[in-house]
Amino acid sequence: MLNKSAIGKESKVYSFYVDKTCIKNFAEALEDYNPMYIEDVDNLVRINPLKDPPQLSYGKDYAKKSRFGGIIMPPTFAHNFRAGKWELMIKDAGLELGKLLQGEEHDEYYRVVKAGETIYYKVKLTDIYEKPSPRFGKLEFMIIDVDCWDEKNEPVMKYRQVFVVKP
Amino acid sequence: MMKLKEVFFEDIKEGFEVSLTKGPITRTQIVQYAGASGDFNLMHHDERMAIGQYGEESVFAHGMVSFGFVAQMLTDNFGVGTIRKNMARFSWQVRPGDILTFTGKVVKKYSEGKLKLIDVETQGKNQYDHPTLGGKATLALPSRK
Repeated sequence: MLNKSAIGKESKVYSFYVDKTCIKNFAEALEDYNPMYIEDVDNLVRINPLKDPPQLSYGKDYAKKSRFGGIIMPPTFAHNFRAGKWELMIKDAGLELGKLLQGEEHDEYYRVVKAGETIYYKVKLTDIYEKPSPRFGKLEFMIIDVDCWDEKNEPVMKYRQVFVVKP
Repeated sequence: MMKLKEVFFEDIKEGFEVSLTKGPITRTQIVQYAGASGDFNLMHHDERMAIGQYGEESVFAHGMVSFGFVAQMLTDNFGVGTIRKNMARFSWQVRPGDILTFTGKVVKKYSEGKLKLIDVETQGKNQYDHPTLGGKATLALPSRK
């Protein structure tokens, strides 16, 4: 049983420097060879040993010449903005990590984030609740909300995750 | 020289469909994604823990991997920097060997103030035609006007 007194608890503010190389690694892991995420698509270094990347040719400095002026952060990169999350779920709410399963993801983006920016974020344990389950009797759920803002204190995005706790 | 797709609001009709096939998912890819996202939850890369301790059949990919694939389908077809909102429900686990087919359908085309928006319903299925993901995204497209 999760500890409902953890509802409303927030982490401290964390920061994440959105780095070009991190973006490249992230895009490569998803095999998303978008030249807005990867500067040198013609010459990827970290290749999946079982699969070569497609030979693409966008030309040099595609991202720099684009309207964004450089490499941008893929929207789902925010998965990296996660410090403090497990502490809230495990230490405060009493979750057994092995029972965690992500049910849903809700992202809202206010603007494109560029490589080189530092993003600040804070994690909140918004809710813990149960729902009847035909299979297990009842299932526990946890809602996590993360707000992200930039160095000028302007919000850039936010995301919500709904987790299911395996019985 | 290749160029990314540039799509304008006026070019899209309701009912327009997009798709993307990914996979086969490999353990190496799951490990790459764990490193790239900082999510080292053992159930995704540690087979002995996943099976022995967590009661799983095998390791399985992060739900966010599929979410990343949906985002790729949208940016590949509608352009980067267009997604305003994106949500998904992960309905079935994605395991190594799985081949995923994602589809998106424009269900609504509308304006909100100066923004020209489309709502896209998204779906993911594995090679057994079993749904793995269901979701919806709202994108803001540039206008020719």
